[in-house]
Amino acid sequence: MVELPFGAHPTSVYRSYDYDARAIEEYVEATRTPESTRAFLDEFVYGPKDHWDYLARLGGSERLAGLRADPVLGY
Amino acid sequence: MGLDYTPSELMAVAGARELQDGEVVAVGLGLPVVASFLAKQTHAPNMTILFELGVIDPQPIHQGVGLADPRVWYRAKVLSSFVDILGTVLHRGLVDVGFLGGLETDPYGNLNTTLVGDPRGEFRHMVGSGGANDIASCARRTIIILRHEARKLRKAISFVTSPGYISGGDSRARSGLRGGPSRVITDKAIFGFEPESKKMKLISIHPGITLEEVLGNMGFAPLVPPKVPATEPPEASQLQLIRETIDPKRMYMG
Repeated sequence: MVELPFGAHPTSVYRSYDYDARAIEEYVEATRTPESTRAFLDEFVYGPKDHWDYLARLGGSERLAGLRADPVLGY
Repeated sequence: MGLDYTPSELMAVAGARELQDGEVVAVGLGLPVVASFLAKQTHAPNMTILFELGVIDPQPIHQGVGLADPRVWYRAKVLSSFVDILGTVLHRGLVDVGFLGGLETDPYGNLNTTLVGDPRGEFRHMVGSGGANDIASCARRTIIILRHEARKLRKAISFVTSPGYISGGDSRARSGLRGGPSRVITDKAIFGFEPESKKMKLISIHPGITLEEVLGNMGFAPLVPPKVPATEPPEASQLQLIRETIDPKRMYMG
């Protein structure tokens, strides 16, 4: 088994990182029309050259640091 | 002058009052979460709350968006799995109360959380069942909470996700199931079930609601006793807990 950091994004991994409510809301918003759905898929699914590029498009380390789980709360 | 409260708040308080201290309660998504935490924080501190995905007795300090949100698992005594809660706890008969919301129910408390419409034609899939079938089948009693509308209280429902008293009488026991629904709580009234026929029976009407409003917004006629008391309204302390501690963002209370 190999760890892929933030591999469950935008969902969460308990005690590791929280779900990304903003990304989920943006996805819901994007799927309202075929055009905006296509734009979303191009940006986040077909566009990224690899997982690291996907994370960079989200906002990179600054965005991801905000998702890190609090060790006491677990989320 | 009475207290101001919303129909959802009254439903949550009525649900909490059905739960007793020391009981083990399998809690479904939505209003049952608010009602169960309210009971736990008032008259039933030794009650055990179970969420089907493996959460036993959590003490959340933040609101979660659903039961899969780690916010509602905080300080759980045990974090296990679906198989543990449904298989080794519920199916062994260790759950006193199943507490479920739903899309539709019928005169025998059969509950639909799966789809609306006609499964042979046009229909819409909804969120169920999750563990709702297991909970309704195996808990010693089930409490159902849903909005009081003719399209939700129907003579025949689109899909039986969770068995109530099936076709009434002893049909549930003959099917090999224990328990059965004890209460249906709506935003207009509270119903029980007549012990012999297992038909839904009106037991109280919420303050400010008339019998005509109750019966006029149902797709079937429940049993109505000659005198129907008024539902006890919420207390100030219960409303304060719901508004300030349990559901401050009004995610469940609408």
